Amino acid sequence: MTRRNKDRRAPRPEAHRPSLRSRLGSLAVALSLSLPAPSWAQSAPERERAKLIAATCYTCHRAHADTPSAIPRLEGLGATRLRQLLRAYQQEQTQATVMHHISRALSDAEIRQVSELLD
Amino acid sequence: MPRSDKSANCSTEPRSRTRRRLLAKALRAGALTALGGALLPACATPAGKGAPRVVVIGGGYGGATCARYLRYFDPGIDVTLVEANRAYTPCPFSNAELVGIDAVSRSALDYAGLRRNFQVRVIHEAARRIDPDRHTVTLAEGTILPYDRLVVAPGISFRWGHIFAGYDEQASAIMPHAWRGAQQLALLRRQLQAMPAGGVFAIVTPAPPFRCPPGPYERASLVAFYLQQAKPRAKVLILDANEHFTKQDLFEEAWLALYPGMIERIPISAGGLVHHISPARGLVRAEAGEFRPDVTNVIPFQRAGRLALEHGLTDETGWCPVDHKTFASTLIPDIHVLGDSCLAGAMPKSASSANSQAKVCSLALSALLRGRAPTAMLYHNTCYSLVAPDYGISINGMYRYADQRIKLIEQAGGLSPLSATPEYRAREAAYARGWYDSINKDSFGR
Repeated sequence: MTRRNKDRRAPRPEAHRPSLRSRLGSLAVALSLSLPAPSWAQSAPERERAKLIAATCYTCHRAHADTPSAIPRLEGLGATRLRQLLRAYQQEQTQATVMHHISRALSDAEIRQVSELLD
Repeated sequence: MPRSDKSANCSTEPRSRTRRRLLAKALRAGALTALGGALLPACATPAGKGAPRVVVIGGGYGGATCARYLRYFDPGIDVTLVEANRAYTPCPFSNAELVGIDAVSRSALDYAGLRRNFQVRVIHEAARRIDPDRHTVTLAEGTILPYDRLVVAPGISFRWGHIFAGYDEQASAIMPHAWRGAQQLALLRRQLQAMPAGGVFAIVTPAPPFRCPPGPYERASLVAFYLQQAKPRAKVLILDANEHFTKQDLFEEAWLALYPGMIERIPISAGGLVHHISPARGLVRAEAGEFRPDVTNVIPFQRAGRLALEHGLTDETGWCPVDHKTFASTLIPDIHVLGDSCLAGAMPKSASSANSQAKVCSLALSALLRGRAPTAMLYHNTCYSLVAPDYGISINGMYRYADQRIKLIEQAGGLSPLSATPEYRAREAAYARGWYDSINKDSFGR
């Protein structure tokens, strides 16, 4: 994830929110400049649902830098990698103990949306 | 602090619906504010004057998570958590503590994280009375807290004497339940340690629903692990009010491999149901016959927490019926019930379920208080059990809202596989510890 710097890897997901907002903001500007609406443009309910799914991830994935955990951290993975991982778990291409079960509850759109949100 | 006790007292007058309507209107006008605001961290800003007020009673996994995520999803809500105890003794990993493993990592959880990181106002006092008409909660010392929405998460209470005649609260000082609280666990631990070689440790189970469905069987496993090391020829006897139990094949596979001949289970069909207990004589009478175990652990039949029972939030089942979309009580308006106390469809009574329900509920509360319809429903439960320190097994379920019910998503969720390698079991044991660390941070805002 070369495009990410240390500061943006702060352990708390909350710390990402402002940058996400600003990025969504610039995206909104970019979109308004005549790009066609992308397939992942989110409605308010979709956004709520993505927030809930992200919060659900953190039940088990709230590892902090100061305590080593067997459960991997999500911070710093990036949206692309998260999306690839969730898809691979769904299709059981990647070995897992629980994520192959859990990821199957998510649609493609939800995987895309939650990956963006956790970025 | 958002509001002093004094000014809280002032607002015992019926809450102003007008004010809420105006607020909702203002927020709709700035359509993005509600959602955009929710993306912001709940930084060091307490909710402002006139903010919607949510009072949460009960600081276990359900209540703590709800307080945290209300402030996280919607920092414009004023959140007060009412919990009598200054520290919470978690039930997960209590079986590990019982047999002296993982003792170091089990420290009591406090509420400093919710206060410091999420500006939740935490009051360590018992809630004495809920007045649903006036929308107020009166605390033990007389403080009156007004609310727009109330969340109640009182956990479980025990049905003393139900089915198990003779087993009441006094009896639990002799035959501990160790199903809640640090004292009971410590008592059972002392009894286990004092057990003679060749002794019998009995576990008497209730019929569902009860807190932590795999708990009795995890306990049997870890007690067998302890006995194997410390008490030669000792055994575990499960007098079971159930025919089948969760993760049964996985438990039984492990028992055969790790503790051959050490765990005897009498299911209900073979007379496992206990109907009389005499603590003074150390006697347990089941349909299968009389037993005199050296240590007897009685897990009583259960129902919703006392606060829910006393305030008309329970139905004839002894549990709280709720709207599965919002966890709003179907019996009393503007009160939501979370966690073990509520009837949550297909979800088991677990810390993980309570944590998940609290997240759904906090988003629903934010929507309702802002005049929007709740839309986000997806529920999750992951539950690990240790059968030995390095042998973990798991079950997980994902749930959706359909036909006004919380229903299991059939294509998702599942169990650990049978016949897995020791490395796989060790991995799951490590994940179990990671889960425990993570859910505590997540729920208690640390």
